[in-house]
Amino acid sequence: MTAYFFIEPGASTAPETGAAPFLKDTSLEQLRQLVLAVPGVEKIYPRPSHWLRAVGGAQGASMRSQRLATDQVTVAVRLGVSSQAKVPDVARAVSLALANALPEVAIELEVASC
Amino acid sequence: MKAPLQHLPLDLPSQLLFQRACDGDAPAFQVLVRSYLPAMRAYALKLTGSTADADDALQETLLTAWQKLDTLDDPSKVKSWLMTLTGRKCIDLIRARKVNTPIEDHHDLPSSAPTPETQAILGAEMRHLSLALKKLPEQQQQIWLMREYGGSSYHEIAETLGITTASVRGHLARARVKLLELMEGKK
Amino acid sequence: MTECNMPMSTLSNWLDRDDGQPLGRAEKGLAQHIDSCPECSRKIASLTRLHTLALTSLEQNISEQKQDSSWIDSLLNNLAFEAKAGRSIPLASPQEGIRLTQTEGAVVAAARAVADQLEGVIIGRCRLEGEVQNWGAPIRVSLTVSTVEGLPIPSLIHKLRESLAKEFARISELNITAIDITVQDLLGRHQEV
Repeated sequence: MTAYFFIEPGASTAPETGAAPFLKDTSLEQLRQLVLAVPGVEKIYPRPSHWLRAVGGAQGASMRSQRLATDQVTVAVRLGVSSQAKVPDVARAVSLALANALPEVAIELEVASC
Repeated sequence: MKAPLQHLPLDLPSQLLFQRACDGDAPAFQVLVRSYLPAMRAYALKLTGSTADADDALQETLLTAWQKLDTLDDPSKVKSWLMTLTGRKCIDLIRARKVNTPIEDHHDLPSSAPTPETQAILGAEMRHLSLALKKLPEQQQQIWLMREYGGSSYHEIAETLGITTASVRGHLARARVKLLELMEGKK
Repeated sequence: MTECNMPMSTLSNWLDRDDGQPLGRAEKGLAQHIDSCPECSRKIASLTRLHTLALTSLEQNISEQKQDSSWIDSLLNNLAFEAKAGRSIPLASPQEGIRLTQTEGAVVAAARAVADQLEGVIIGRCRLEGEVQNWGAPIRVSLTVSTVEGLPIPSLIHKLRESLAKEFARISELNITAIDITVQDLLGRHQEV
């Protein structure tokens, strides 16, 4: 089963047991800064409410109650891209920056405005 | 993101506003619904009996309308669609309110009292109607309002309340008879 | 004199008939009866008066709402009209383990913004037709636009096509096979371009 972690504009989605083990030396705040530093990125959006309703309940419970097993971890982020930038290039640049910072993690990125 | 057409001229034809709103242009949606909001609020106030509840229902209505506007194929149906949706959200709220408040609090909530100015303006007949309405059993009151204020069809009323159209027909007739009797009595 | 025993529910139902539909046989019969029965005529008249009163009452309530319309702005400003996402459009991934997408809503909003910046045109509808969720699927962009009276339509449309093509190249990797533009005048009459 996949554990999702959203990089969000404000609060982090780290489980209450402390920093997520997969993060090692990086914090979610550093990841947020990493994303925002990529040229062409205008903003980070919160996770979509429909995602929360459909999955959030079960996901939240699993994050709180179990130690993260070595199941797949996915880090997700929703972006607003600048109206001057080439959107697919920015998306790729952000995803590679994240992948470099988090070697064993799957990355999901959605462009929600451009 | 480039700013959307911020200063949408308010006199853009409703056909255009409707198309843009369906496709996700929020300013266009707001201009479109703006003209119907007074009727929606008047309706919600009568149904729920309180300003706070009416405004809650209106918020829910607008959020749903925003998501579902593109299910309409005909811009001329926007008003009646919005009114029916308003009725539905009000009924949902009334039901939820019942579940959450203890039985002792279930006395009739008064509708917002008319101001002294409107008291003067309201004809005696309309005042009588308003008072008579409050004397109807709750379901008759709701059905009457949904028909006369909301403009909903028997079918839409039946669907919202989870009863048959035959039931709606019967309740509506009884409501009208009762209102006429109550108002005759005041002459 | 015998009392007419027409049930009130029948008369009440009659009041709510759809004026847009022609009368059926039963309804024609009822109409004739009402005409010739003083009691039923009286009852219909009372019901009609009540209905008129209801409408007047509603109009009164609506005017009250319009008197101070500051509540309208606070209602609308308090709501977050979340951009409608629509379908999920894939973007080419640079490596294994990375999944990239964009929302249909983002693409449509950007296209609409670019068209709105052009003098003389206002976009109505903007739709992506085809299987946008499938990488490489052929997609047609379908637009309706209104143009300002007096400006030459062909050159406006040409400019619009150019701007849109440029914008789509910037924002997406969709395989756009056609941009269909329908011009409607401000009254909604159409002409294909």
